[in-house]
Amino acid sequence: MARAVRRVCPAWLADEVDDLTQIATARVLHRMRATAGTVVFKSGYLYRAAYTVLIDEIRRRRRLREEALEVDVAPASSAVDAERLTASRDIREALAGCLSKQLPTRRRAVVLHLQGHSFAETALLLECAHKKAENLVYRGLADLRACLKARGVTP
Amino acid sequence: VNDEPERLAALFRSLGANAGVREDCPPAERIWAAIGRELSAGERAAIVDHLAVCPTCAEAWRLAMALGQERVSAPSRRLAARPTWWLAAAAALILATGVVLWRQVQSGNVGPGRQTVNRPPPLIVALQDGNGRITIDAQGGVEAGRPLSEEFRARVRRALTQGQIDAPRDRLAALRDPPALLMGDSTPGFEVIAPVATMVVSDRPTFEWCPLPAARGYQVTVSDFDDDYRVVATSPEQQTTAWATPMPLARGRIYAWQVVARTPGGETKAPRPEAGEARFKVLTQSEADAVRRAEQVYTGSHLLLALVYAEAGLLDRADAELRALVAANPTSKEARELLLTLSRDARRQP
Repeated sequence: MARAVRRVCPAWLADEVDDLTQIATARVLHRMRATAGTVVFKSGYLYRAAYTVLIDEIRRRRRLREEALEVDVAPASSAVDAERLTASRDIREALAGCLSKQLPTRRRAVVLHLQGHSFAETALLLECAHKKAENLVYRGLADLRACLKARGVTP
Repeated sequence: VNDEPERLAALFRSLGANAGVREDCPPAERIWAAIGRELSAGERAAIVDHLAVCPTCAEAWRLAMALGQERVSAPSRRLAARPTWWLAAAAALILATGVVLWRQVQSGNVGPGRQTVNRPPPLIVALQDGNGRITIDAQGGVEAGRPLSEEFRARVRRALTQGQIDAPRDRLAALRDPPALLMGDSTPGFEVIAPVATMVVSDRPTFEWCPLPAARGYQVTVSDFDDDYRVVATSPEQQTTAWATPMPLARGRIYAWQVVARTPGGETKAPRPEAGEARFKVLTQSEADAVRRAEQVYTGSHLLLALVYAEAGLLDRADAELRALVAANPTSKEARELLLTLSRDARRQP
């Protein structure tokens, strides 16, 4: 099992899988003991626990990276990276700015669409009819396209 | 083909790699709950609003989508009474899956438009499918406009590149009655149409047959094949050529059915005795629930639904979806090949 886990792990998390596994297992066991057998746990709970452990760890590492960047200002070897970061930040700000100007219902539909949800899933998540979700996505995308173009960002 | 929406999606997703963590990011637990529709509509809307300005949480959402797909395809088990080592092993496996999916999420490999980052490999299959498109590129990448588990991607790939459809052939063989003249070699006339040699989802199936011009009425009889042909339902005399059982049939059992046409010259039966029986099986409750869940996930896609139905043995439904796929793609040899495969392999050969 350990070999299989290491085989699929990306390098930056390879050393952490054992620890993450222990944390996730401990959370599940703690919850099972706390409920003293009064609640039936299914494998879905294990997925949930594993997911939260993974996201917490990713966030922790990103916070550490940000802190390191703040302390170690402008390392000499990263001129290209810095340029890329700036461009990425500009695009992100343009996207965020354009999305923030949209009507909330359109914005949510567009965000879910960009995330990869189908119209049916978007309709379920927004609790609206399939046709309405489709309409919101198309109109929202048209708005977004026009806004980005006005800001000089071409998708 | 206008792929601008896909490029827009790829752009949106590419922002996560260099993004930081905000002070107002919702806990991971709430993102999982939101995507699982455990939160109220208002709470869910607030989190989706946050995704618009936080690429890191947008990535986390996509990981939850991908992991949720894995969970749907995995069997549900109770954790209670299982040893600690089992939990640790299961957690390790799920985490490893999560880490792999996270890598895919970061590389834009989950969701639409992933081929538009950098130079996309050429498409070898592109089908219009319901509300969207399904494509396969030269590297085997499957794009269905929605998140799919790796296992389901592989099934789509096999279906469209090798013409393979997964179906429970052994179980379907029990529903075919030798010499199997029903499905192709019978003479035109008074015949049963459906359900024949297939599973059905509903425990109140609708029986259909061809009309007999001289018939004054029809009567359907349904027997329990597993209980020595005990008659479980009989219709009143029908003037139409379809009838649904008013009372539910027991699930998980095989049934045989017959329709009798009353004519001035006497009674005529379908299927004829020499043609073999018309059998079908009603899915168990858990199988039917699984199909209904899959229908919600894959609604709007003829191909994905056809694969789900075929795997469950629901051949009539799979057939209808594939015919719709062929109608939408009249020049596609892949779509036609799939329909032929379903008819030839899944329906006829034991």
